[in-house]
Amino acid sequence: MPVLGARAHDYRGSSPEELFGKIAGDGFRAIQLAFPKSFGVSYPVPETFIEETAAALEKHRIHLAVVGCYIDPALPDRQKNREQVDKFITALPAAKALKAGCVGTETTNLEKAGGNRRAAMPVLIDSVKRMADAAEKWGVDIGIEPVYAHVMHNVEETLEVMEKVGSSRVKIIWDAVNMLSVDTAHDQPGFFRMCYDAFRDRLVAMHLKDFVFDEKGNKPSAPLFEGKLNVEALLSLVKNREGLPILREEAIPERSVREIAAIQEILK
Amino acid sequence: MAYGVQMYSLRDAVAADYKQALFTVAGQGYKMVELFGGMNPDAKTIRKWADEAGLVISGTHTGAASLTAENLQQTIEDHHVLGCNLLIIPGHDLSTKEKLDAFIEQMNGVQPILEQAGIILCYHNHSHEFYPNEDGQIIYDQLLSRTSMKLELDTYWAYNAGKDPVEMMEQLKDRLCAIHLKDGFMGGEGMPLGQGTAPVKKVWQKAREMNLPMIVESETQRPDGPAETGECMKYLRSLED
Repeated sequence: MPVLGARAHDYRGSSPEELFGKIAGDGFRAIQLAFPKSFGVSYPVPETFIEETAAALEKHRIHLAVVGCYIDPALPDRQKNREQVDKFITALPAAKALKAGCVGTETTNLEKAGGNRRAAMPVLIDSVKRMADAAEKWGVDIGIEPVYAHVMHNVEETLEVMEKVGSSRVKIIWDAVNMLSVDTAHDQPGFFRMCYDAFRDRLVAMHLKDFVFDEKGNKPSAPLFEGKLNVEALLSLVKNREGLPILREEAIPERSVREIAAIQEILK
Repeated sequence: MAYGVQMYSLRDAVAADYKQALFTVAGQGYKMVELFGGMNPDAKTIRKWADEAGLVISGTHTGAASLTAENLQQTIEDHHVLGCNLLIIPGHDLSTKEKLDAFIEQMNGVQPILEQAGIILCYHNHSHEFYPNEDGQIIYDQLLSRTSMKLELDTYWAYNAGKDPVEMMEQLKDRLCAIHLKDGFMGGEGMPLGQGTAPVKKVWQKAREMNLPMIVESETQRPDGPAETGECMKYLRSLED
């Protein structure tokens, strides 16, 4: 069975001990942790804070599935783009020390990337190559997340990045809702199956959240099981993936206990 | 603020005209120089040129081969002539336990002799000292715990290895004899100060707070060494504003 986790900054806690205690108390066994968002600690994470984090993870038996370092690796300005990539690389040592599943990022909103997806793809691929080189040196995986409104926005582009970068250290974080559009949402089972079949071998973690469509086709979030997401169709694909982290995003802590019970029911 | 420069930053200019290279960095506002590559020309001549240029020779990058039994005395004499009390090992092949043990034994053997001669023995890092070597040893940790060598922290290479150089400076305190100020991108691509992603400004602030000698080492020579060291000095002056 997969392991259920939470995005840590959906919870509040002033220290790793307090924060992980709350998350574990609700029944989650994994986290996605962005140090700056949860603790105001920037990368590279100071060694003393890594030790404090490691102790709290161990105490609460939580697996650090994803170190969140969401950057913009496809900016047209070379200098700014290198700054983003280098920031990502500075998160790798903490991931290594904490035995994290990966360091995760998305790939830059298309508008920010200059508006031309084909022009932005080589920039993205070059950035991911640099990230992968560093990841190989550190012995850490990196997780890249396709998003419909971003440079890497569909299955084909995701596979293109994987192929052109050519590193076994590059994996995929699959946020099914982030890939949905008005066009694909009507056949969620078919779309999810297509994504899963393409990503299966590279999957390092999944995100789980719900959504509705507004009149402009945007996807504001909704409480899990109350929006448009076909949760059952999605989770049934991965119910046999032993140890795969399924990370709840945009969780409302007061609802977590009930949600976990409902998710586990589907995963049985 | 008084800054130094590692002359390797303008190695082509040094090869073409050593004396002129010294006058160039002096003209740019550097007050100290760190030498590299042995005594060529002889120490007396280099000292004379440095004096004429108004430069202090704050350190030398001197390989471990200069510290063997047969070379040690000459190395000490050269440092006395240069008026320089900082001998910095610029790097060494420490890729196995055997090599590391031999190096540490050599350093622990020569350090008291150098000390008696008024010379401080230091080590300058790159990035590989922070990764496990072939036998799983972290070289930097080994040097810290098994020698009492001082350390010249190259802040860029430490950053490139995923370390926070400012945190390291705080931890190393009195083990530090100087720092190298350097900029660049991750992956070993150097840049003039202020143009890379290394935390140069924070390092500069910390070095100032700790009263540590700051030695610029900027290695790209783009468009050439003197232009790059000049650009670095401009950046340093901008931090003082």
